[in-house]
Amino acid sequence: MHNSEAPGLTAARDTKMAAPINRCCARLRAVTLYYPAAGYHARPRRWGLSGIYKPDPQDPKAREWQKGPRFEAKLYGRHGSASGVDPAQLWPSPQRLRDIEEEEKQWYPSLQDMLDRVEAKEREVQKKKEDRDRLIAANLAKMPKMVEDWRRERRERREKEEQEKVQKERLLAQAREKFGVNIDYRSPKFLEMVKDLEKQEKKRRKLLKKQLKEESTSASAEPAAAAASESTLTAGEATSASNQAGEAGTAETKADGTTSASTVVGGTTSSREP
Amino acid sequence: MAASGSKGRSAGDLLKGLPRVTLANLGPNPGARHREKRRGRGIHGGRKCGRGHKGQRQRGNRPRLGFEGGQTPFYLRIPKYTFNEGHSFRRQYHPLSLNHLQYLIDLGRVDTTQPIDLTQLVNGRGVTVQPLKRHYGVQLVEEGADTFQAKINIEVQWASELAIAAVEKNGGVITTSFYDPMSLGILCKPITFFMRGKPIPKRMLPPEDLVRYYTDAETRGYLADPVKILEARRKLAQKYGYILPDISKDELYKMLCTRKDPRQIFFGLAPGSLNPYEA
Repeated sequence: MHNSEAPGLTAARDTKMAAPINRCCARLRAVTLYYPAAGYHARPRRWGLSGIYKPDPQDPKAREWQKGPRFEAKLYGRHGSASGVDPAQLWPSPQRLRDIEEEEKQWYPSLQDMLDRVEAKEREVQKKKEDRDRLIAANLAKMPKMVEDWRRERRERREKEEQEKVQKERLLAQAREKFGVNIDYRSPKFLEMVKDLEKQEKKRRKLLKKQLKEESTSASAEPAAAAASESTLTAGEATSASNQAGEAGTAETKADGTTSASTVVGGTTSSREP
Repeated sequence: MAASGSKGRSAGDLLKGLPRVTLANLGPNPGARHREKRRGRGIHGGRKCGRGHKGQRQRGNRPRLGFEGGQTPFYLRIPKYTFNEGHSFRRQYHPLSLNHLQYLIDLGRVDTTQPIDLTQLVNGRGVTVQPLKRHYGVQLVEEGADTFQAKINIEVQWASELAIAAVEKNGGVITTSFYDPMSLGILCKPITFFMRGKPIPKRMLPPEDLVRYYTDAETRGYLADPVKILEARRKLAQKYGYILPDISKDELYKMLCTRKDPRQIFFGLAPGSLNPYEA
């Protein structure tokens, strides 16, 4: 106990005490009324008349939270230098300051760092966007050609399908003429007929090849144009022959019909596929 | 020890005397167990035991939370939308319209001869800022832009373009600046802070996603280049079609030019200083 008369209370009640707060109040009073506007209201209570309360750290009755540097800082904040607190202790110690600085360096990036990072991020986003735009432009440039290709393919496919259909019908008609009844395209009879046709076609091709070879070796002086005209002539004959193709269809096609037989074979094989 | 010829017991002997660690010797920690409460005993004995009359309440077999007796419960019936995802982390800015600001000025609750910052607005009861509720300051809203007439030097945390134009049209100055929650609390309630007797801390820099906003002259950011801000003022005047008043010839030029340091919280008080009323 440093003060035996008033334990835990500083006796000093000079004008210096609580000076800042008083000054603050005086400024407030200057702009507002000190007393309530209506007389029947109680006047504001005067605070801090009993002086500054500073508990003795040795006193076991003193509250925990009223001891230590934090409460002293509060005292200084409230009463200023009248509290008798050394203001130097309100700032962090050199060791603590070093810790704070280190922490700040670790956890709080500088403005330039942040700006750099933001710019890098923006650049990345911009680059991504440009790449995408470029890709889209390139693909769009390719698009008319792709559409044209697709249209052409579709047309070709349809034409081919039409052709195959016609071939199949022709073949079936041929079979009907040969066997005298409507025949299923899956029946062994029909298949055998198609196989025969294929064989004949093969043979005929071989023959044609041989002939061509002989012609080229013996009469090389002859103009190629004549041979070409001859071949077209034979082709025309063949188509007509296959169309009629009665009971002697096999024999006739064997003799001539260069192009027609090959198309016939192709038609049947493709129709069997599905 | 035995070797030195003394009569003391060795550590091994001591250990042998102690009870062994076995399953039989294991038990719960002291204080880990409570005696089960015996319901319906004593002066209140044997009636309802404080559980009410009949049913699931009394028997304690209530179904789980959200269960609606077998029908598809609400929390499964309604689809999950993510509009409000992260709402508890979003920054909030209290709106302050130009209308209301004009009202505060007209009533004398805000002094236009001094630079206006959050302290002035809060002391004039213009806005209520709660940093603990993720408030990051005020945003100046453009409502009342046509009728705003005051010449002010104001510092807000967010401002729309038209609001900036309305302030500058009257020869005022506007700055958008960031306060971290700690500084914001100090700025809004300076007296409580000074009562704590702590030195004023320094203001922190904005987070990375706000750096662009506060370094941009278009938004009058406090980290922007002042020369660029002059240029932006001229451009904005062109855009909205008003003549920018020359503030350098103004009688309040000094007040209008007052700006805080990016690390400063209060006008005229450097970070690290103590209670100004004591100094």
